Order: sequence, then structure tokens, then C-alpha cells
Amino acid sequence: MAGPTFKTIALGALVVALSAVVAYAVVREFRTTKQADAQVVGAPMGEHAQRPAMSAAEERYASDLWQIHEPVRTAAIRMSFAGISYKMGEIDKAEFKKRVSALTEIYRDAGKKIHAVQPPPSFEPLHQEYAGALQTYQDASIEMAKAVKPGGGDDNLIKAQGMSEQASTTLLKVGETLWPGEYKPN
Amino acid sequence: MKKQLALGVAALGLVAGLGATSAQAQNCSVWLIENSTFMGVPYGAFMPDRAFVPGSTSPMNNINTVDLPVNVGVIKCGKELILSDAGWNAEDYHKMTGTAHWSPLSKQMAQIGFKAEDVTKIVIGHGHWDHAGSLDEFPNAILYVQKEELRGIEWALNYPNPKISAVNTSPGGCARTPACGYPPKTVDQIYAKVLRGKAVIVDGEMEIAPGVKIHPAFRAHTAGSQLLEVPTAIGKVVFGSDAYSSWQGIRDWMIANPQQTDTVQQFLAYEKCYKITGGYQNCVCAHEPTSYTDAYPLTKNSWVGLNGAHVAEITLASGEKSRKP
Repeated sequence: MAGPTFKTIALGALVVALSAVVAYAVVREFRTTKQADAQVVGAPMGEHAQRPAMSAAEERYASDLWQIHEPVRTAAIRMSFAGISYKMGEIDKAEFKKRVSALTEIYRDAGKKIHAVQPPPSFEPLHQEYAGALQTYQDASIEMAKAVKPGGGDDNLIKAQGMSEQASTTLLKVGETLWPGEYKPN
Repeated sequence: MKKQLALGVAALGLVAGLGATSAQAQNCSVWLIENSTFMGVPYGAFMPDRAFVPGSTSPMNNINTVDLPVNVGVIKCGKELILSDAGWNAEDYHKMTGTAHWSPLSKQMAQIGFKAEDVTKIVIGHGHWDHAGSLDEFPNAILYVQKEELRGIEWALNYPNPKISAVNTSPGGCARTPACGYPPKTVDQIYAKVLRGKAVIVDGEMEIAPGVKIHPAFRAHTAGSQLLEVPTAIGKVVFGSDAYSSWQGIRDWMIANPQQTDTVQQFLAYEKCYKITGGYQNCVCAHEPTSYTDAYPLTKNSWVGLNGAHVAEITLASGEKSRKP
């Protein structure tokens, strides 16, 4: 039996080389796919990753409003605590009035500041909603203060609490658009 | 407090042990409802010791993300219908949290034959939004919250350093500040219960029904975390809310969900379950990823209910009929 010719050896080598290239490509493709899958699965809080990016103007607005939002949100919680402390008998009428009046000023100040913030057209409705919530908080704090005035009482507190909760709901809805992930699972 | 009691306008308790009963403890029936699922949470964010290591073959580190249920306990003891935690309202937060399977808790309860207005008591393990976020669905229920929890939030809010007092420190992220996790609306709802004389501010331990006991677990997840011990036909079970975020964590002694957590206190809360129940099997966890599977045996008697969320029938008292379809 005659040995392999040069032509046969060359052809064999070519087949082996081509097979190696194909094998490498298959393995590489498989790995890439797996990594891509892992990235999708691993995207923190799935839905966030699918959100369309904000425009530069929208980002700027979200950032500007956050400066107003943070003290407002804290004030809203303080307002609930003023009510809790008062109902638990931990603070007297004078202290209650002092705490609530300070919150009214925070809401009033925020109300002024928000008029200086220019929303992009896409966020105009949301901007109006937020401004409305600030006014509702302010009105709620004024209503709350009536509870310790002559003739006032729990009815004022209950009415104010309802208003406050309504404004708080608006804050969450606005936050859902502007600051996704504001409240993470905990 | 005394003022409200004297005026008879508030059902507010501020005395340790108030509400303790001398009646004989009876076994309770217990169900667990998956109020929603937080999808695709990085495992390491939930349990630092189980952070994903690409390529690792160790079962401790080879899981990238987990889906975390938000579990609510439904406890029926005679005429008392008690909730351990109150879930949340996804209509407000839904897109922010990558949530699946959510339905209003009142509707989820209806599927096992309970009416929201029949809930007599709600014990929140802590005041975070995903555990105290739908109190308004249960108008007749008395809320039980630790005074230490309220004190902790208020302390944080009034702290002079704004980086610490901030409810959140930056846009788009709750960075585990002391007041993180308490949106205004959630605190509003707690206040609404206080305002309407539907809250008991607990100071430590309290027995709220025969054999049903609240135990403080301060700083095991938040400042005023609390546990709920319940007598049942399978022995005592303990609901831990987020002090018991992970059942595997209790089993393996690993911390989980470290928000405002003192890890030493979380371990002591774990130990409390071992002491009360005699092991870790009957510890009921709020976010255990293996809930409703054989891997978490207490919850395996389960089915898929409303909107794809799970329900488990954990144990039935004598004479109580099964609500499993």
C-alpha cells in the first residue's frame, strides 16, 4: 500500500484546521449566549433595566426636583409623627402647634421653589401633579393645626390625615417615573 | 396615653403586657400568602454570604439572582383573625420594584374565604413599606407596632447629619440609611390607625390572644422589629417578618436582608425561634426564596392562587376545614 501523497496530507491538515475553527466558533458562540442570558437574568430588579432612558432635560428636571422632594418627604413623615406623638400624649398642644407650623413653612417654601423649576414638556403634567401635592400637604398641615385651636379636635386631624395620604400617594406616583428604585425591596 | 384612655377615645396600649389574657391557649390555624414577588434580586444583596461568584460550583455562591416572595401570615385562633405583616400596595410602587404576582391582600385573603373586615389584629414585624403598606385595607383591625420602631424612625428623621436623617440618600436608591424604607404613605397609614384608636403601641413583650405572643427583636432588622409566637397543632411557630427574611439563613446561621440590622441581634432573633419552637423548621420567614417548595417544608403544602401568587396551608386547628382548592 502506497503512503499518503503530499496532496492527501495537505487536504487532511486543511480539514483538521477548518474543524478546529468551527469548533472554536461554536464554543465561543455558546459562551457568549450564556453570558448574555446571565446578564438579562442578573439585571437588578428586572423592570428597571427595561426602562427607556430619560433625555438630558428630563434627567436635569428629575435632579432639580429631587432637591425639593427630599425635605418635603421628610416633612411629610414628621407630620405623621407630630400626630402620633400628640395622640399618644407625648407632646402638649403648644409643642404640637410648633412642630406643625414648622412643617407648613417647609411646604410653603417648597411650593415657591417648584415654580422656579422648569419641566420639559414631557414632564409638565407630572410637574403639575407634584405642585398640587405640595399644596395639599400645606393645606393638610394648616388643617392639622386647627385641632389645637378652640373648637378644634380629632375631626381636623382625621381630615388632615386623609389629605396628607392623598399627597403621599402622588409623591409615590411621581417618584415611580422620576426616581425609579426610590424604595427598594426591604 | 393616659389621656386617651381616660377619654375613652383610643384603643391605644403603651404598657408592656397590656392585653395579656389568662384564658387557656388554643391551637391556631395558619396560612401563608405570597402578597407579591420581587423578581431578580441579586443574591448577594439579600444575603452577603451568598454573593454570586461567576464560575463557582459552590452551592453557596453559584446563584446569581433570586426571586423573593413577600409573605404575609394569616392566623386564625378561635374568633381572632390575625395578620402577621400587611403586605403592600403595588399600585403605587409596582414599576419601581420589578414585582410580579401582586394582588391586593384583601383579595388574596378572599380566595381562602376570609373577609378583610373580619381581620381583628395586625402585627407588623416592622414598619417598612412592603410589610405595613396596606393597613387601610383592614379598617377594623387593631395594629400592633413596637414603640421602639416608631422611636427609631423619629430619631433618624431628627438626626442632625442630613446624610443620616435622609429618608433616602440619593435619587434612585435607598442606601440603607436609618429611615430608609419608610415612605410617607406608609407612616401615614400607621398614623391613621393611631388616630382612629386602632393601634396598640407595644413596649416589649405582649400576649395579644391566648398563647399568641409578641416578642421584641429590636435591631434584628429595624429598630423595633418584633416576632409573633403562635401555638399550633404542629407545635409553636414563630413569624419573624424581616428579622427572619431567609429561612436558609436561620438554618445555616447567615444574616439576611441587612437593612437597619444589627447582625448580632438578628442572630439572637434566630436563636429565639430555636428556643421557642425547638429548632428552625417552624420559623416563618418573610422573603425566603424557597417558600412554597419542598425545600422549605413548613410551606410546601401550597398552591398557586390569584395572579400566580402562592398560598400555603401550614397547619389547621382541630375542626378547621382545609381551604386548599
